[in-house]
Amino acid sequence: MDNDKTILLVEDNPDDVELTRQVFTKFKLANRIVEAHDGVEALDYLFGTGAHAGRDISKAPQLILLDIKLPKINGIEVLRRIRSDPRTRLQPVVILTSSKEEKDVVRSYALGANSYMRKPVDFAEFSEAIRVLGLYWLVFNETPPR
Amino acid sequence: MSWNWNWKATSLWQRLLVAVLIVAAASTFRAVFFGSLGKGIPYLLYYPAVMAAALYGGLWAGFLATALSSLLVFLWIQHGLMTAVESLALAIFIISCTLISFVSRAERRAEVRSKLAREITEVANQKLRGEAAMREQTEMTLRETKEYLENLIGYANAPIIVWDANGKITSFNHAFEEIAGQKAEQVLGHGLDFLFAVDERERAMGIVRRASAGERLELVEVPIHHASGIQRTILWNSAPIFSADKKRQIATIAQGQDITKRIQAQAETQQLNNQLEQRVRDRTAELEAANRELEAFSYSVSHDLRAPLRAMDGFSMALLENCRGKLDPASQRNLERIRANSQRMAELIDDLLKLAHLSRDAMLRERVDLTAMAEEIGAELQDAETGRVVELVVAPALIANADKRMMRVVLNNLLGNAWKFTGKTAPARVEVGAREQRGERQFFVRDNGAGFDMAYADKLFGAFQRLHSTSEFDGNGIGLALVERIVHRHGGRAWAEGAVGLGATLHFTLGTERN
Repeated sequence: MDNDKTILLVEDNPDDVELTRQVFTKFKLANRIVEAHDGVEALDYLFGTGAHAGRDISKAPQLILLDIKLPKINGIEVLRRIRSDPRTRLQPVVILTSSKEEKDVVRSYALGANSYMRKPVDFAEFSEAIRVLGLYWLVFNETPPR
Repeated sequence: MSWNWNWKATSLWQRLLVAVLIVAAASTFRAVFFGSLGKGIPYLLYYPAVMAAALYGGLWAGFLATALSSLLVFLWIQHGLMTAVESLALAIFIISCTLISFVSRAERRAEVRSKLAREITEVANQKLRGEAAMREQTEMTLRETKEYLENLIGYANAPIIVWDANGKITSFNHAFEEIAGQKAEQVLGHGLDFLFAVDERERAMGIVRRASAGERLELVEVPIHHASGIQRTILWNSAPIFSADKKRQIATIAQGQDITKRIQAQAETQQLNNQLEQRVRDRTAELEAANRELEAFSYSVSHDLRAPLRAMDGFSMALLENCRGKLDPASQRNLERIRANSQRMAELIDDLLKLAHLSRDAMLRERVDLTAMAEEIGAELQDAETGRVVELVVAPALIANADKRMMRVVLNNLLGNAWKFTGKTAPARVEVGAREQRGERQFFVRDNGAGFDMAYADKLFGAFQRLHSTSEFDGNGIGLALVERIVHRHGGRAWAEGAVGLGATLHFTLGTERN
């Protein structure tokens, strides 16, 4: 695996961040995680603005794990902006959230989410899901050319 | 003279005979009582005899009596010898008697004439009396009819007015007095314009003129102005009244129907309807607000309530993994319990969300083949528990007009329950069918499993109500609450029958099965 393959984890809940980190650590993927704790931070990272001004945005994450309920700008809006900008239009985005509310699922897919995953409460299931997810998107999946 | 014998009824011969008898009687009388007279006063008894004969028998009887008397005087009393004086006496007798006879006849004729005149007068009088009676009768009938009509008009419930060709009021009934606040005696002879409010007058008088010109008004609305200022809405019908020769319109009659109350009632109904509509709008808005709130609530629940559970479960597991071998068995079990409860609470949250969804999701009725659906679900349940043998009997052609997705939830829960509660029964049997009861299709799912005590039948459908402990049969007690929610949304109902150890039958209907 290339070292520049990163995962952008957009998650505001520190417990969820911690648990996700633990899973990635377990599977030796923790150093690839970049965190964003709200929608604005995520967009700043992706477009090199605000706190991330000057970042080389050609180094795009291999995958974005995007929560829906986020402070400032929610995940759905973040996804909409990612898909409406030519620079990030093809960026793989997996929605990773607590709810499986139909409207969330439908809106996510309608805006071009690549996948929608509900975080299981059972940590065993959760870690298995993260493992499979990481394996699939970082190892097996071919990302679009930049 | 009041002789009342019928002259005509006596024949001439009878009268002549009577004349002869009278003359004979007079002669006999003379011979018997006046024999001593000899030739003296020969006509003494014959004058009265001729008079009597003439009076009784008329002209010819008089003549006959005269002739006989003359003959007897000449032959019997005078013995055929007559002096000049005696001859003159005879001639005078004859002339007198002839005259008497004529007088008698004239008198008799006058009598007859007067009698005839009397009779004619009588007939005429009778006729006159008859005519008078008839006229009286006609007048009485007319009076009665007039009174009847006047009463009819006077006490009719509807306002009635009659005006003449000059536009002057000639009749104004009680009902109209009430409506106009004017007494008939005050308005008779006046024009109609005072009946209408000033701003209505021109239009109203135009309508009156049309009626006066012979037009028949039919349900024409003309408001009447009460003396106190109150206006009443009246629908008018009018008709022209013609002279006897039908050539002239001599008056116009109009009859009204007071629709003020009806219009008020309509206005009130309209107002009530408006209020009702407003209330419906308010309620709908409230309901929509409540729905939005529920949606926001369940959205928040689905997102936020699970995160802490995930943390509890995740960190407990992390602790278990990191401290493997360092924790005593009791502490390990406690951590496991924390995890189990976190997961159970997550399931409860999911069930609650399902229930909330069922209440607000749109419903689409379509043709649903419950037979096929039940068999499909049965096969899935069979596949999930390969170790068990459950006999599933599904009646053919169970077709419903219902929301397909919701019906799957219903059958999933009912069959799932049947499967679950027959877990300790052998051989297990589950039956799906329907029956017609009071014109309504009742579907049922019957099992021969653990059953339940009918005393708790009403608790069966409450959310999170359970009649068995989790250790006996697992589950959250949400299934039947979902079933009931769904059949209620279809306009149907759900109920259960059963007995401990004898199985249970869950019935449900789906309302009118129309959209």
